[in-house]
Amino acid sequence: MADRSDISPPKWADRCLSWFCKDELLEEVRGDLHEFYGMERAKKSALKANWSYWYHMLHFLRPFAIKKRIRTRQTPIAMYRSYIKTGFRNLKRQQLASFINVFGLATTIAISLVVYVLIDRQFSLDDFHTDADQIFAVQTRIDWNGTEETWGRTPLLLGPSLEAEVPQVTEMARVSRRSATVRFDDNVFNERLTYADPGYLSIFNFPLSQGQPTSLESKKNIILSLASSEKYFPRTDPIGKDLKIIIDGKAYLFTVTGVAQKFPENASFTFDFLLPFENLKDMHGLDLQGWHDIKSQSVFTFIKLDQSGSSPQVASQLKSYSDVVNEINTDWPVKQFGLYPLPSLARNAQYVRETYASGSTPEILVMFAIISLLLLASACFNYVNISVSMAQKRLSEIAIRKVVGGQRKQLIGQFLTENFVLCFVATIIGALLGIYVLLPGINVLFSGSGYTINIFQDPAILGFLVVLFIALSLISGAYPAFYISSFKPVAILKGKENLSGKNRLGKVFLTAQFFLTFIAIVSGFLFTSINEFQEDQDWGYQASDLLVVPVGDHSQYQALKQFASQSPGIVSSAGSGSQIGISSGQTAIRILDDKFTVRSFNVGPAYFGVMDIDITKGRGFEMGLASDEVNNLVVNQAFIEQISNGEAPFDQLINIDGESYKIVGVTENFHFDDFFSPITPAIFRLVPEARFNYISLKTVPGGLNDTEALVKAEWTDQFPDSPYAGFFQEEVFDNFFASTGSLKSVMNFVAMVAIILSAMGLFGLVSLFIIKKLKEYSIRKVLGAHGGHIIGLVSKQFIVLMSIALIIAAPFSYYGFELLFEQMFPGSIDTVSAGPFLITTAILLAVIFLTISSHILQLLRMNPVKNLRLE
Amino acid sequence: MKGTQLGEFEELVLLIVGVLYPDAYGLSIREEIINQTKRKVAIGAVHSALSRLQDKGFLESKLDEATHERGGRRKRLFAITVLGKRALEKNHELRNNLFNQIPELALKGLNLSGL
Repeated sequence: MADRSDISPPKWADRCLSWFCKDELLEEVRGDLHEFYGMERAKKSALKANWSYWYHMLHFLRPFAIKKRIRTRQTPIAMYRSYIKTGFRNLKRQQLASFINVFGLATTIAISLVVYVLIDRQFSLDDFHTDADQIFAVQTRIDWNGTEETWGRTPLLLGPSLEAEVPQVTEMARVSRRSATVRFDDNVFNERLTYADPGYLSIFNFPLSQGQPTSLESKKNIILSLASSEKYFPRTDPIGKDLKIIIDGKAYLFTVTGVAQKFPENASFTFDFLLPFENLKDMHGLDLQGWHDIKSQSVFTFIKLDQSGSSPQVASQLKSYSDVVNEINTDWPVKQFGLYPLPSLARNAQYVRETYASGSTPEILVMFAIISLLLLASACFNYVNISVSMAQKRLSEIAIRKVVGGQRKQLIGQFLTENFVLCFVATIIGALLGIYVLLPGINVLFSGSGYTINIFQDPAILGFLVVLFIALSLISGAYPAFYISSFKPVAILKGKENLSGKNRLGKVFLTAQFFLTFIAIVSGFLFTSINEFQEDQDWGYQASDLLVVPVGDHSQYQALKQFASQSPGIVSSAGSGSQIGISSGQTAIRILDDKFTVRSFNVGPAYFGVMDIDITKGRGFEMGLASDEVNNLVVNQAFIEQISNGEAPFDQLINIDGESYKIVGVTENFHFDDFFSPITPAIFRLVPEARFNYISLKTVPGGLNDTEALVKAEWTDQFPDSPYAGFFQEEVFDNFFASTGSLKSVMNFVAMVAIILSAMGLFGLVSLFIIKKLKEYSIRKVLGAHGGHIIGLVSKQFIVLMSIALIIAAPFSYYGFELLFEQMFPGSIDTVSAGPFLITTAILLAVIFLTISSHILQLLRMNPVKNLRLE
Repeated sequence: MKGTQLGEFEELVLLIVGVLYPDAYGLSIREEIINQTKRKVAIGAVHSALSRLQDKGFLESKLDEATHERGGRRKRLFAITVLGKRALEKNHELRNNLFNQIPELALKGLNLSGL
């Protein structure tokens, strides 16, 4: 006799049959076919028998044998009303669960909305300019001591030459920004001026509310922004008024001929004061003729092409201009001039040295986007977990609906409708939360961002919310709907149906959630510790009790110096041309044949003493020593380490702009930019008093505020034409601290949300778990088990889940954050330590323990008899 | 009245169920049809006819024991009902009646030409 396996018919044909054949016919049909197959195999080859089997199987595709799909009409509208009603009743009846669901979803929706707005603004920067795709910035690829860099600045004559010689260039504007003092009556402020060719206002879309853009063609006209017009001319018409602009003590008069409309929020560059470009010659001494070497002037060139497609042709024509420049500029030859499209200018700002448009780092945005996606996923996990567990209470409703003729499709529809209701509520709350709480919060944290949302004016945001709403409803609702509706009504009514014992999906979700939470909490701690690390850093000098006042000219310096020597509150004073943390220069030096670029500070002889910068080798500058002024240098430790290989080369000749210098002293390292950037080589040069731009006043300890008041009074008394712009040296890094501080706050907020979300997810799963094992625990309790024992029983498996999450998350986040921080804060590596990981584990354990014990306490308080008596 | 008419193939199946009694089930009926009439019939066609006959009330069925050749599945055994018997008789009678009414001549001629 043939072996059983030998005669089993083709599996796929059999499966196919079971799929379409009526259940009541299936057994006899399969039996006949099987028997037939056995007979066929006895006579024919396996292949022929198989064919024959398929043939006969397919012959059952007749109306009598095919399963009847029961077709009913679409669910009537009235049923949807019933669904929505039961949906709301359920929300009300299960308040805690509903709250968890709505709150979790709403919070994450709010976060995603804000992140979307941030990203949207970043990607729509400058897109309001008409024909933005035809506008290009010309930027310079330059060979900067062997490394190729992109510079925003261009030679002065490049723009006019392009306009005259390249037919595709229809318009051109050169721009340069300088600072100066602006005065009208008693309003005196230091301002940033924008000098631009007349093309500026036709290339860029900055419409004027008053006056004509063409007025910029006349040399002594000035156009104000709305903000500066309100600042200088509150409640008066500025047109025709004369503004005084003061540069190096010299005053220039300008007539206001226009005021711009309010600038769009997504402008990466705007202007406060717009002046004709040719004024650069008189007011800042720029030679407007000739191809100067680029490094001495900061001029940006924008061109508009006849069509965006002609940029390659123009780019190829640009090549000839680099040769012209390189004849004069031999030290840092221009590799080429490139065209950079306006819309991406701000996004790429960080890769360009000195650029006209400014943008923030995309890494942070990417991180935010990932975080918000993870939080959304987490809220969906919760929803799935909780709604499955809460369905236990609705089993009889499901059974009754099925018994009275409700079909599975209808039940799925019902649960999805309920879910839409819930998600709709959550979306609205989330949108309100995002607009009225989170966004203002972000605006406070990142000062100057000033984001606003008007949903009804911004179809993209409305669309985003709708898409988010539908996606969330389907993702979070699909699994519960299909799962719950699959229960057999008879089994439910007999009391046999229980939620399937394994609930593997829930556990996977919870593990994933622990994973996310772990990362979120760790990131909160790490950002906090980075922030603390930076605040605790030694600045390399004493910034406390130090008042710094910028001085416009020699007389101001002398007056303040005089004042300082007389006032008892001021211990000492020093003048300088540069100020650490505020301004410094880049200087090219040569040692033998090697070229280097170093940071340079021009200081007075007393500067080291007042700033308390330690001289470790050699000496500082000495008062009245003529040689110091001509050819002596003080360098920092980084100079010695990176340029002179650790030795202090006191007899080494250093060439700067053709002059020879010698090093006389070495200072300790100090931070001059921020803590992100590593300390680079720096030199100090002695400059005469006439070139001082700052005076630093060391006050008696704690006397900073009193002294400032005195200095300020003295200043306004003596120099009514110049604004007082003194500041505390302690505050120079405040902006920088504020940005990491804000990041810290954001990450801590995210960590909080993540903790709450995972506690909620845990809550849902634990209640499901306990409902299932209610009888077991009641029996245990009757037999004398105490609370701790039961808590242990329940917690055990959740702790296993957490350990799994931990084992995956710990190395993942460790390396992930190390990578991220290396990108973001190159100065502060080694901040990722074991501490945050341990604390995070402890927090997660505490959350698990608290969630579980809150359930168990409820269980313990119940009379076990009640749970057992039900049968 | 739908359902009381007996189609040609249905009548064949019904007769064979009677012939095979008490061992008439889908596959055996098909074998018998092939043996007796040399007609090629798909198993599905037989089942379809059986199902129709049962709907019309000419057949009744019960499930038999499971056997090994059938992969452990039971077979459905069919038997003719009173209604089925009556329908067969009616058909038989009608046919005989009609046959007898045919004039001798008509058949003779055919017979002759057939010879």
